[in-house]
Amino acid sequence: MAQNLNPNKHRWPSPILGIQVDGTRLQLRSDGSLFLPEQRLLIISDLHLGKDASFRAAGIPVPTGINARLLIQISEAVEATQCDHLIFLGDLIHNRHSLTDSLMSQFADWRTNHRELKTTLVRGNHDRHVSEFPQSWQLETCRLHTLKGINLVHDPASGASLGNQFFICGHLHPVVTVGSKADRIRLRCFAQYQNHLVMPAFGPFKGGLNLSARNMSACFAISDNQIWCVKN
Amino acid sequence: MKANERKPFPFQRAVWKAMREGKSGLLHSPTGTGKTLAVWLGALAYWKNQQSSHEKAPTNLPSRQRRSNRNTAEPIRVLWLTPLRALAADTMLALQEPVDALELPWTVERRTSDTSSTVKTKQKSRLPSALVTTPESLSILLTYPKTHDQFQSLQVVVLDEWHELMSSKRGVQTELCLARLRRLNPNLITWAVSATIGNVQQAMETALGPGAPEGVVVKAPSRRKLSLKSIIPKKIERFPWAGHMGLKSLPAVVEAIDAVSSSLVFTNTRSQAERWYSAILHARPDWAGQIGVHHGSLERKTRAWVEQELDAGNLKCVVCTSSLDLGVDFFPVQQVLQIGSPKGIARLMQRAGRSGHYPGGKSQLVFVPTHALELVELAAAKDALQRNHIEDRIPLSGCLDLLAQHVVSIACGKPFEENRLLQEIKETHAYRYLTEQEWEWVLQFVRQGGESLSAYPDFARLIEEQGLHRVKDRRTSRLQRMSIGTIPSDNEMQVRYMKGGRLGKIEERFISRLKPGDKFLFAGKTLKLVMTRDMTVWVRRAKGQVAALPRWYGGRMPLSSELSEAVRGKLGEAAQGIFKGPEMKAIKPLMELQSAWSLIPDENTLLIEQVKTRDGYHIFVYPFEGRLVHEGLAAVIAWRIAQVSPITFATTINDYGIELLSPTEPPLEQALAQRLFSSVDLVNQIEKCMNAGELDRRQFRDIAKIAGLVQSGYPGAGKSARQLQASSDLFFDVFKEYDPHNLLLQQARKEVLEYQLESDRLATALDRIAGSEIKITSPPKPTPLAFPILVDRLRMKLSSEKLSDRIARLTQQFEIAAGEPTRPSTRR
Repeated sequence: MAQNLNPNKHRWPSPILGIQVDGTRLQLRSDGSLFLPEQRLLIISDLHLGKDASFRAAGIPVPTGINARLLIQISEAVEATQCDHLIFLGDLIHNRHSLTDSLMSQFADWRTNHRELKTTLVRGNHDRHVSEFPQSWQLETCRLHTLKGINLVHDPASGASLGNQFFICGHLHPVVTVGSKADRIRLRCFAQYQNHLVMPAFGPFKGGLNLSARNMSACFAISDNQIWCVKN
Repeated sequence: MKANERKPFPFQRAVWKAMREGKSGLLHSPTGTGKTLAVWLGALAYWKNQQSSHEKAPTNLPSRQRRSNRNTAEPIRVLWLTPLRALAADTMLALQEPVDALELPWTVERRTSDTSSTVKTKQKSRLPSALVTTPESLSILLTYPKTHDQFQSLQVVVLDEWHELMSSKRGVQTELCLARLRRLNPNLITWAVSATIGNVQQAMETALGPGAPEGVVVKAPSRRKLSLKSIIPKKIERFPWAGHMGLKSLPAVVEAIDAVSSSLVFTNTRSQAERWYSAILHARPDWAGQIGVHHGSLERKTRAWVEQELDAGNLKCVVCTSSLDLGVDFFPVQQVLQIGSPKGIARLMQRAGRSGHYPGGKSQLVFVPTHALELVELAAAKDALQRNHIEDRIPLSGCLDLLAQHVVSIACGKPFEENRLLQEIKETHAYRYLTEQEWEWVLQFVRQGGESLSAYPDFARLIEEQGLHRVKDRRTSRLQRMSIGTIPSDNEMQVRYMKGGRLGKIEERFISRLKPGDKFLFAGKTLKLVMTRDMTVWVRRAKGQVAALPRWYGGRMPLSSELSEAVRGKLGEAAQGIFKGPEMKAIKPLMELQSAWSLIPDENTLLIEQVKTRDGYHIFVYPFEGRLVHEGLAAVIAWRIAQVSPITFATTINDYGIELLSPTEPPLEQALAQRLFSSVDLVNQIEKCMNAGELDRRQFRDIAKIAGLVQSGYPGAGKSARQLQASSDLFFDVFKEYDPHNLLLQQARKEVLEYQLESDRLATALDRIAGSEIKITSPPKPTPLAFPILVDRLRMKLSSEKLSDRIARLTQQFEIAAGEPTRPSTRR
């Protein structure tokens, strides 16, 4: 049973694009996050906090500032959506060198500023480096989060065991190329396949996996604070 | 000193005399042989001389033991640097011969990345008397504390094939290492061995260092005649058949190979070599086992086999790339075939010189054009050869990425004092004008990652203690050794048979486009992809013709300015209806078509053609200045036109001209009225269009790798290494955003300006254009001159449209292109 997303009928770019899955409303946001207004739930995927530190630990000079920027961006999304619940859809941190003292306190401070927010981590492959996150981060962790009719997992491959149920996942950092030979641009995107939606990685300093829009059921690219309907 | 029976040549005597007297210098010759022996015997003579004057009995040698030959032999005396590790083995044999004949107490060894680790360990504790190595391996040697003391006994450094090294970053690396060696022994003499180039004097000065006493230049004469022929297709089509790799001439090429006993077929790219090899084998299946393919991505064993069989005279022909440009001569080779333009006069001579090394032999080169216009290039090259007009090789300077690498290397070997190292580095040609500020920045970069300490916590490669800089820990040294010699290249994957056996290396981006079961051509074999796992491509042999051709990312040779000038001259003749020589006669019909549809530009005309096709609006401009200048010029004129009104261009270039393709009609007339080709404010505008065209981003790729930003992963590191891989693109963005003053970014810009766009040459070109008449034509279709550019797929973008406007246009286009199948076709 493949499920269709029924988009609102606007074709022109907008900061937010609303779609529906089985009567559940989803808002695709131009920062790469996903908001479920009825549940007041915000989803952010593949944050890779502390990626800069893991490079520095290996003797590669990457400047700081990325983590702070990421946290500010999350705050902005939380403010804008007024959500009650924030879910990190896997790969919250980058690797075992990522949890530096400065990141620990940065995140804890951020948490203090959003004390009321319920925060859940759906574990991803990169999160295996941390068996338990600091108390001050106040994270609930799980491998699969289930809402009414919608499942949240990190890796699309593990979503396959869910049968035909609809799921939302990350992991791939999907990127789509629009344009042809002469003129083309690579853009982060939400990629929808028959029964799952792949979210883009949130924030800067992430690579991307080129996916062909032809194989997707729908594709929504993000750039320039807008969402573009590439295919639907 | 007499090593063999033959009488020495005068040039050899000249080298021996100079070296015996302790002078440095440079030996060059167009194609001739005997250079190795000249310098080697000279080095031995110098040693003998030193021996008799200073050290009657060599008692000051460290820890002499009588256990084995290695420990009783002479300490390190001669260092022989060669650009290719493939050459090291042959060079070593050539050096060994006189040592055996003279029964000297010398050991001759090589050290390259192919050397086994046991030998490397032995060498570390005691270097051989003569060491043949590459710049990278020398750099790595200097990271070991033990070698620094040993190098004090070094007397002679020989830089083989110096013309190949000097104009690259590896040349700069060599200069830096030499500066260190000269510190260790101030009486060290340096000899460069080079092919003939335009700027021999400068080549010598670069090798010897700016402060060195005047060296000696010795020229060895060429002893062979050179014959140049072209395979001219029977029928010249109306359109130059670019992109087809020249396979049209296959029957003629096979015939030419058949006519002699042994040939070398040079191609310009590895893909072309693979394609031609399989085509020749397909045409003559009976030659199986008698022909070979040779290029840099093949497994070392395969290459060694081809070389050995070629040398033994067992091979009818070898299809190769520049991998066989250099090195020992293969005596059986009677002729050289060059597929496609050699792009330079010196290169043409060098390749031709690979043939005819038997007594009374003659260098024979058969030129196989891949498109008709290349015939003009050969005609022009012949003219230039007659006038003895050969290209310069320009040494690089001021590469901070390499300097950062070198500083860490030195610190791994010996803790250094800041000022003394600076002095040493300023003794190189490349860094003679290094500023205090740049030096300060490099030190900061290796000490704390960048200028501001707070930006890079927990990072340090070097630490300072009591005025001495040393490496932080042994891990840093190890990482350093692994990162040296990362020649910028894409991620390469091993190709292996399922049954075992390695074939060579292939780029990840090519493999990523294939699915298991797809066939591709590699190492002259049709292979089927089984799977890719852990950076290895597993394959099986396959049958059948349908096969993808691997591509390797890599710069293409630009047409040298000398050759482009000669090409302009030839076209000028054609414009006046003069067609001299078989090559020019052959392309007469093509030129007439060009002239009917548009016109043939002469030296004083700049031709611009405007054509509209299904793809959009094309502007073709033909400055005939070579690829590099065109790249800059394309960026500048695209930028200038884009200033008139918002527009997006895709630019394509080749050695003849530029194509600007836009989806909307460009305001060419207005732009011309606003001095489109003026050289005023050039550098400033290039900087602006570098941002728009993202040129510096591409240059940053190489810099990031050398400076140690991008790790290529190391053997056995497996998956965890992948977490440390980020593309240089991402680094570029991060630096731009969080550390915009990073000098590596600035270096990327500088390199784009100086080496990639050759801003000086660009300004000269613009001045030349300013003096010429601009003629605009609107041919009905792309003309013969335009066609090769049109089919060239290398495109660069420049846009002055708002990003959102562009995406809106592109996403709309996508919908049209993807199309709903039910919608009736509206295309005309």
